[in-house]
Amino acid sequence: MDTEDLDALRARLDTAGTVADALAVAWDIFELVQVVANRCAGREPGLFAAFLFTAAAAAEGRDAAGFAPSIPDIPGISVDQPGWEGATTAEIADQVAGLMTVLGRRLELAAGDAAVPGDRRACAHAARQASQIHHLLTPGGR
Amino acid sequence: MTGVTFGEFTRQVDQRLAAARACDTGQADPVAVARELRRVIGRMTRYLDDRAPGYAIESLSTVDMPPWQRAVVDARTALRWAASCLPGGIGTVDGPEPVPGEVLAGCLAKAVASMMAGRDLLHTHLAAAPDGWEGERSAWAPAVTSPPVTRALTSQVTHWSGQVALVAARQAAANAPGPPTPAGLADGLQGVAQWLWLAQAAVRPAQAAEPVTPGDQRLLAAIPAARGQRRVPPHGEEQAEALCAGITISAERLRTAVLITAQRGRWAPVSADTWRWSATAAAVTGQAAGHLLRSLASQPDTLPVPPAQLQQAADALHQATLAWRQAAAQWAGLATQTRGLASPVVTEIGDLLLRMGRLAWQDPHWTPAQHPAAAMPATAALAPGARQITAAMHQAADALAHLAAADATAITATGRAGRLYVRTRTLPEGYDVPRRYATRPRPAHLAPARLLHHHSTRQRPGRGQASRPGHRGRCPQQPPGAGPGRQRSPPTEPQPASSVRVRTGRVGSRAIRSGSHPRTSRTGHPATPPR
Repeated sequence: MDTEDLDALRARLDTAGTVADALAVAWDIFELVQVVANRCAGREPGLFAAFLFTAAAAAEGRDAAGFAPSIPDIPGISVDQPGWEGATTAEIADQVAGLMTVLGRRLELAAGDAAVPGDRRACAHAARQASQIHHLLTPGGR
Repeated sequence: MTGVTFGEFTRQVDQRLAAARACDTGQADPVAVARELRRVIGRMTRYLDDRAPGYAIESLSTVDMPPWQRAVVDARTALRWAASCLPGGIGTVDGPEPVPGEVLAGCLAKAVASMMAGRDLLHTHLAAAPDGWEGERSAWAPAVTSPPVTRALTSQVTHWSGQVALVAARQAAANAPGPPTPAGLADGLQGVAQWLWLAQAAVRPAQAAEPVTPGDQRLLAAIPAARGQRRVPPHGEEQAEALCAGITISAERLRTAVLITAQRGRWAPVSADTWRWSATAAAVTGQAAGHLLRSLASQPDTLPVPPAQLQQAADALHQATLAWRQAAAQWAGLATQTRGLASPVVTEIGDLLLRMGRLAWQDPHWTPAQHPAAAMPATAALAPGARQITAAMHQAADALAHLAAADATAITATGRAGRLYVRTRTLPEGYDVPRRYATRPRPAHLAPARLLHHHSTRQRPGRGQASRPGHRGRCPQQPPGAGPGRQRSPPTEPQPASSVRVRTGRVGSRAIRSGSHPRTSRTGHPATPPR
């Protein structure tokens, strides 16, 4: 995975001060993870299940954020050619799992800050998906 | 399913009618016998009521009916006339049970009870749908209402009619006129016998035109009672035998869950999350099952079927896995307003997935989150249970085929109702929708449905799709276009890897079945395990 993609997203996550910002960056992160996970699923038979379910959870988390009332009305990130070809699947899994830890915490904070019930539910749902992805991509499911 | 089958009740009826024929009619109370005869005739009539066409004027002319439909109508008419021959003074069908000592009437009463139980067993597979029509409650429902079962059942009922006619005729001959025997009872019993023989004869033209085959009779006899299997959640101590049994239970529960979800109608609140998750789980299940079959195929000495058959099944499952994976990928681009995994299908396919993975990778604690570092384990240890494993794979493949067919229908209906959304950034440049999601343009929504339909049935010629109005929001007013190529290309659809017809679940299940009753779409006979 291209570290520039991840670094930029992490930076946005760190500076996401409002619920709307958190939802917007969560949407982008989930979208990226969904695309990457789908492409990684066929690279190693042993990680087929883990990456396929990661893609499903990422899409679910993306849509949870995407239908939140406060998410900004912009199209969102376009993930056509993420620069990840050079990384191994294990490296990709580690990086995504680490990113999900940070994202999950940020979404839980946003759920607590959200004034709109729809935003609270969306942030909580998306946080659960981030936790699920972390569990899937951590060796042994730990 | 339980061990009780319809065949057990037909054997009971045959035994009790044989016992009735052997009774001494001179010692019998003719009124009690006549009352039981009326009940027997009533029960047989109800069997034929279930099979008769639903229009009220069928008795005007049966000439143009199909042979067995005509046989049902004619036999039922004869039974009704038989019942009308009995005088009113003998009491109603809800009258008292025969007293002890009334041997003949008692035998007939027991035959009635077995007939009732048999009919109730058939009806455990059917239910009243919300729209009032008969709905399906189990995977056996299509078999219960199928032409082979109708033939076999009608033939069985008219056979009983002939047996009961003998009883009625003997009782009529033995009746002494006078009190307390009601007037006309002897003549009535004789009339009953005549009409019952006519009912038996009513099926002869149909038998000549479309004979009842031994397969029809076996199918009828094999129909079990539909009793929902209790869920057995996977746990870490299950070995191969328990895993196979659990897969079979999960497959049956999944078929039932699919039926229940489908019966909720096209407005059922199934979400894109559920469809996406189900497709993902089915892909992983298929991968594990294919691995198992390939491994078994490499050990020919222990197999219940030729290795080539298992290899064919493994290849078919590989195609299924590809199709399910592509369906899941298609779902990555679609969403519904309903979200979450609230569907009974999710639980059942989850159990199926866990057990299949634990069986395939020989890890009692396997989950999708496990990352096996070693190469795929050999399955030599599974060879002793090869028959059980192939049976379990057969059930799983069949259940997934059911899921694919039902999901394809539901997705198509959801799309046509405008309840599917796409990310607006995936729309063509001309679409100006100031939201992250917009109603999907056709035929993009049909991509996952087509994949699943292709997976579950043979390919059929495509149909043209009507154009639809444009989208909600600030979009171009012109329709998005009626056919492929006139709008932004939908996500890449899979092409069949070969000319092999990808009825994947059923090809796979048929390929690994050994000696079980054939499952065809015509009869709708659900999967049965290999014998």
